[in-house]
Amino acid sequence: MTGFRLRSGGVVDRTRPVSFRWDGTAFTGLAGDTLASALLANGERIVGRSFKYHRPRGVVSAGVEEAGAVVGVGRGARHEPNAKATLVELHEGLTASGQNGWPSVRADIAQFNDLFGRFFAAGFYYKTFIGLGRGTAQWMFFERFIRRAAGLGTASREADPDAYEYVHDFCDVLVVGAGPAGLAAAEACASAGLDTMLVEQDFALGGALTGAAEGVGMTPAADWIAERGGPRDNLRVLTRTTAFGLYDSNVVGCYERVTDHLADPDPALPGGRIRIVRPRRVILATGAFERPVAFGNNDRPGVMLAGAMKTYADRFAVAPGDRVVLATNNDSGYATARTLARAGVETTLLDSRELIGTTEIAEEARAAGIEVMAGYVPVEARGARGVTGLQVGRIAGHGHARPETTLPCDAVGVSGGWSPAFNLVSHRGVRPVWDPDLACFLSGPLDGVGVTGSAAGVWGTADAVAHGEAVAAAAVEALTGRRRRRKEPATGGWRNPIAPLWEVTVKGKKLKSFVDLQNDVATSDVRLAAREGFRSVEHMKRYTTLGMATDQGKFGGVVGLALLAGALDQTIPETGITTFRPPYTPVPIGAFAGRARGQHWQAVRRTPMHDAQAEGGAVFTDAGLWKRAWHHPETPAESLADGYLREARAVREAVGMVDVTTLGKIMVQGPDAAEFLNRVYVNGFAKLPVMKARYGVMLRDDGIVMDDGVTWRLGEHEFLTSTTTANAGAVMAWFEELLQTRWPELRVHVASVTDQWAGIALAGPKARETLEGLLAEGDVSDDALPFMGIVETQVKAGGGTVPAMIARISFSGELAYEVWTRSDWGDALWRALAHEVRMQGGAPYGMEALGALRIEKGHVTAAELDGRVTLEDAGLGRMASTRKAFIGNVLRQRPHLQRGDRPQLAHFRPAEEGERFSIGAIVCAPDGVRGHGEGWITGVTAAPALGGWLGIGFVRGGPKAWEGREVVIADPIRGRETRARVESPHQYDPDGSRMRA
Amino acid sequence: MVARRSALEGHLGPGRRGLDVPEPGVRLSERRAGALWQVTAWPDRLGDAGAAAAAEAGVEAAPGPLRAAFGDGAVLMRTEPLRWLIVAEAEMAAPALDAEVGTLLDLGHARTILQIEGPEARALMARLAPLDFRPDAFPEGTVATSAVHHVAVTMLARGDGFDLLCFRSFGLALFEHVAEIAGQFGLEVA
Repeated sequence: MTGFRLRSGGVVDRTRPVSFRWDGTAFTGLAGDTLASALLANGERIVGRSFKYHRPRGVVSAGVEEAGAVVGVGRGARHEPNAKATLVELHEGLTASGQNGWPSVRADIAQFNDLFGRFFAAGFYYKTFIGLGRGTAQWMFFERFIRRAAGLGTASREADPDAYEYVHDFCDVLVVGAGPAGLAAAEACASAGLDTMLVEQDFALGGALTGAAEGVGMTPAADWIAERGGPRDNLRVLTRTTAFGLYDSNVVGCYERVTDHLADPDPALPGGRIRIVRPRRVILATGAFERPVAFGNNDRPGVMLAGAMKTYADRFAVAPGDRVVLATNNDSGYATARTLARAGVETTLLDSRELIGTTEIAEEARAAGIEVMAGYVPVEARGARGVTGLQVGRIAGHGHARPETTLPCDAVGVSGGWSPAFNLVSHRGVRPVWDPDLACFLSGPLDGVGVTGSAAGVWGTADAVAHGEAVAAAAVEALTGRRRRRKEPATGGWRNPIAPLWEVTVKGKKLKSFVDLQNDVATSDVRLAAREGFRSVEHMKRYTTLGMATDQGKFGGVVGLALLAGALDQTIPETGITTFRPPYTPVPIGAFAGRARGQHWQAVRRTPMHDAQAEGGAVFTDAGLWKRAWHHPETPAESLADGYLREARAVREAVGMVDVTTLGKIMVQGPDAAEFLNRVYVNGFAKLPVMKARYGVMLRDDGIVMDDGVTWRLGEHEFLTSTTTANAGAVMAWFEELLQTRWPELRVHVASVTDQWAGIALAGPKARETLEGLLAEGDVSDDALPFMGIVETQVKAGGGTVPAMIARISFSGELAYEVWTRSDWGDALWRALAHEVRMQGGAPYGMEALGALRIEKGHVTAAELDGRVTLEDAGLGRMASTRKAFIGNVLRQRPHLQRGDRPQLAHFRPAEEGERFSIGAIVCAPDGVRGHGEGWITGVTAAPALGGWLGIGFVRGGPKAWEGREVVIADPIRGRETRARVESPHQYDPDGSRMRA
Repeated sequence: MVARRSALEGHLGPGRRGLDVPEPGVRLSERRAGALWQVTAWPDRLGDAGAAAAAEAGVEAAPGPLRAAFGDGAVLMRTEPLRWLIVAEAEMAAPALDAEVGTLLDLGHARTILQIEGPEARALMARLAPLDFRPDAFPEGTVATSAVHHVAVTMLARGDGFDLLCFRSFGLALFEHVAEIAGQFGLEVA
């Protein structure tokens, strides 16, 4: 008989059976089970197929180090590949299946891979394509088959349906791990008044103590755990929460699984949370990993870590079999043997330590009905699909064994000693120290981090509790100054010393012995790596893949490096250990995205006129984070191409309106405000009259154009500066930097008022009459409001009047105004003005029409001012003042920036009517379609007034250099070439009479 | 005067959302301020500017960095080293401030204020910004500016909850973001 549920014991709830499906078959477990314990209880042995050889694998551990029971869990979009069955909490309706086996893990066709094992030795990937068959094409052909045969589970191709989030936690002390040491430390810190957090990756508290027959002192285990983990002042306990990384300043990354264990989670709950914990001190009570011993067929289902057998019996009331052979080299195997014997399992204990037979611990075992075989080691497991027996042998030094009898059994438990789990400290680059007495690495020191319990090499429960209290006392002293130091118990704690044993070998016989089950790395691979010159442990790791991926050395890392040390004839400390990397255990990728997905991928900015435009049927586009109206279809069927031309023509022929709220707006205040702007802009602002506006251009220090916009002088000491939508943030930061670092003596304050004001540009020959219809008071005649003038007035909106500022500014080239009101009245203003515009036969227009109008007018935007363009390139050279200093004025005069053959602003027209070209196309000489060409196209449109197709962009030397010559506009991506003429960018209303009408 | 229309108007959807619990863990609403005036001091007139701001807000003394003072109908927040923000419940004429002391700026329409209340308010805040919101570290009257959902937000601990002041254009996005997260506590939107 293989695994089965014991009649009593465990911390499972026998009144709550749980149905689940494994590989298509219905099974029943108990509440409190993991998938692994439920499978064992149901006698399922083969639960996986190995990575390369497709060998059958069973459950080998009871924790995160699981290397055999790597399974797929869940269905559809919630399918999670490569889950460790030992960590999957059983819930009603859980669906799981084996991986890497077809048709199933029980009957896997690819198991013949195992027969060709010698071809899959370390480095076979690299070697396969040396010599015959090398080359990319061959590799790409074979790669598909190799990847299919050798691999883990397959991820779902559907989007992750769960939401995830980040939580920022702060505390005085974070205790990681709720075993005896962690619980004791957390209680001590909390009772000392420190704000304490305790995180435990398991769903139950207690660690190895959970369900154990041995209590703490006179207190039964369950009571002791409940007392410390229960509600208590100053203590926050989080189960199902794994500390996956320790980072600078002792910031700890934790992942909390919120709904994985629920059959039917509420959609309001996130699937998981990344908790970024910023504690003042960290206490790591992360436990220790039991090590396997390499022997023949030590990967057969039924071979497990001895401590895992104890956990399954104690906590889950599951026996691994009814005849068990345990093999140990240390005292911990005896506790497992006693537990199994108590549960009625026939137990034989092999102890590699020859002299143990006469000691007290062996006598106690014998008294408990356990057969103890001192000086014996496991040689080779028997049975193809699971253990049916174990050949044992007498130890003869250096791991060599003389094979003897085969003991019939259905499970083998192995303990090769324990390795403290100091992975989190390793994340910080701290080198561990080899302790030869304990035959394990111990954590090196790290400021602000205490390590306790078996993570510190303290093996016994009572010692671990005392150690946890002592480490807590040190934390209390460090944080409060209150000295209540306790003596730390010494490390170790076994009655008899461990006798290191990494691998059992037999003279003249090749055994298939595994070090890393998850990555299918055998002892022969490690030796091969050493022979081939991979002498560094880090190189050996990468060559053999030992301890890679999610394992991170948890299962066989130390055994592997010990074997490497042996092969190189050097000591373990000389060989060293690989650095463990975060995450300690896998974290869903979606968790790192957190809430930033779907509509919350990034914050959306909406103008106050958004809703009014949306109600009118506007189609929106993204402009940075802003939503801007792209076009306003007249009917739902109207296309963008038809719509923008209609809108643009409305502006040219009647009147149009567009939301310009997104322009950056900065209030510049103070007695030196004019001086400040005078230094920032290339043109003068000192003499700008109050209630007048002026267009300005600013340069970077290096003389390249940074941004442009119109500045309104609202008072002697008050300017409202506008920037392009794209550069609003950058210009604001630039102003602050200048005032804080270069000109701190200037009395100037700047503040963003982008969100204070909502603005509409009203443009077209009928703009003035339209505006007059809106006015509740005041005068916008040419005399009262000349070009670049500003008035403050009241306009009719929302059934009343609202205050507004109106400036006569034109971007479209028409008679135009910008009407600004405070944001909460923006909606009313849009609705009121839209009515007036319709009355005049006009239309609202969107970004596409705005682009068409400005291209036709030859006005530049961020598309042209792309960080490479000078004033002269953009045709703005005459704006630069010669009578004052301004930023960029020195470096813009560098000879290279003043060359006449630099690309300059131009219009482009197809040579043949009906032809078109696109944004981003390259402008080339007719005989020179190659390289970067002579220029580039930054904008295209059907020209609303000029007619035909029109492009704006740059060409070497500008329009003058191309008089009488055509260019070829090349679009290599679309495979298109268009002959075109270069023309002046100032074709539409070149004298500006329409704007000044 | 025409009624003001806030960024959240028509979008709040009052009622219960998220986890079905007897008592909502979080209550979320909009605080409609009548006026917001920003007072910025010249570096050598910090005390005078603070005194002027305190007088206008009706509080005894101008609060220091990262603090707020609550007056009758207004709260005065120290938002930057040289800056205070007066948040008044009702409309408020431009405060009196000598140009020699500092500058004054009307931000009355530039912010959306979300009001977070309820027993889980602090747990919600821990999901919004990387700040220590434990009661001892962030008691009532604490002010901080940080990023929520990559957007600059000024936070004020007030009563058993928090006020979040963000740029008006982000108001709706922030409300939707906060409401989605708050669903797990049982949310009441008012």
